[in-house]
Amino acid sequence: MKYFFIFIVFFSSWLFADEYKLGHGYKVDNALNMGAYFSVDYTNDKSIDRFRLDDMAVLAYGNLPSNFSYLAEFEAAPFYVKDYKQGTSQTNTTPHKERMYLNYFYSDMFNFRLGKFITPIGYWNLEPINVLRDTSSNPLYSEKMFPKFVTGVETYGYLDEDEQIQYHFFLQSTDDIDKNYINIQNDFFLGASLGYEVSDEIEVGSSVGYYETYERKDVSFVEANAKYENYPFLVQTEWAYTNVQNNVLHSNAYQIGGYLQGMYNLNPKNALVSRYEYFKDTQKNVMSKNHIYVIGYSYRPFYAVSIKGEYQFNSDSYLNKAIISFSVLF
Amino acid sequence: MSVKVLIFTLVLSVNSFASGYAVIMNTHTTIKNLSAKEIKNIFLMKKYFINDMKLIPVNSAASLEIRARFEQDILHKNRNKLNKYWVKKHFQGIQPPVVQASMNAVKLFVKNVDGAIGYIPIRLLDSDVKVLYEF
Repeated sequence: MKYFFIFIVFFSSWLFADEYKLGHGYKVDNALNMGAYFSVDYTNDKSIDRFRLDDMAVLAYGNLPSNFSYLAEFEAAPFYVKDYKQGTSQTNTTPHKERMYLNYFYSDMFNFRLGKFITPIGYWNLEPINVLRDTSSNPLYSEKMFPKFVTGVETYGYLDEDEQIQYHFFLQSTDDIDKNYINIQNDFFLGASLGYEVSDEIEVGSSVGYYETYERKDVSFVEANAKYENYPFLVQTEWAYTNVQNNVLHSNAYQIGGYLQGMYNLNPKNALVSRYEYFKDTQKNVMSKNHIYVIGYSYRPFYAVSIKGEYQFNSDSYLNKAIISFSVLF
Repeated sequence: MSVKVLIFTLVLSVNSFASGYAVIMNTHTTIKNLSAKEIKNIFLMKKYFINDMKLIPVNSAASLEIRARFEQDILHKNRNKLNKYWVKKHFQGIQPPVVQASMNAVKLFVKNVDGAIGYIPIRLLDSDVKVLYEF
């Protein structure tokens, strides 16, 4: 835990730096902007009674000459876990490579990225850290249906002059840079996504992809998403379907998953959140079907500081749980 | 009577002239004009290029009235919404536009840096900068 306090003392000192704004990073110069984040949460259900310092991460990014830019992010997670039911605690201070890439800006239509980056699918996956989310928990859709990261190349940009239609096309043909630090271990991943900003309030999008896992499963997927944001309301939904070919069991199965989440801002700092999730997996060894309802409350004294509480009702009531969390982005 | 009307009209014209703002680049640019949507995308760091020229948007200080007017009329976002936007962009590794402390500093920056684009009151316009949009 001493590392956590060193981390907090170091990054809190930014709060008193000239022109520093919480959540915007510390700009050394155009080539180096530094940031950090952490989250703590407490989870309680019939099998878990746990305090966790989940993320502790630092990131650096900046612009380089000749239209290049970079980003590097290292994270230790879960940094510290105290399990009150088991009476155990565990610390993990090993930093993992969360993101590490180089961008080349060729034009608004063609930009290139090389390295390890977040899979550009939907909304949830692109804002994966606690402080940017409106609930402490993640929907199963975001954990089980496609790899969260790509280690490879990507081309992306806008297809129209008004910058309303954005595309991404990505390819991975190797292991993840940090292969023990990804939700689905894979050594091949190909995908594309399109997003259309219909207006300032409405966005829609869709993705397709294919990946091959270490467990010798070939998975293809299709995804669709939509978002409506008009203060005080925010409604977003994402759904995906996967086809899973298991080359060990010689079987075929599918997954369907998604969520619909609504948020009502009582004022700029306080919000009520509700989410419905559905996830079905027909694979023989993991067969499951879940309906999950989440109700929660979000308090942000500043946008980069998030205090949240939620309760999950699961179709399997044994999995009902309460989660509270606190997170900060520096 | 007609002289009074003329004076009244002139005073009104001067007032409206003084409260207007212009989006500017330096005189080396080949861009003739920009739409409000293009300017919005440039200042939200969604649009980086025009005619192969890399753009460098320049904001005025947050405390200046012109900044609030620009955010309202061009970006169509209030401060809370913009703060949320830039916090998310920070996580994505995207920095907001550079900031200059005064309107004269914005003008000087734009005048001296090819690709720089800023906004100043119309009363500060001169032959050193080119107007691409007025609001």
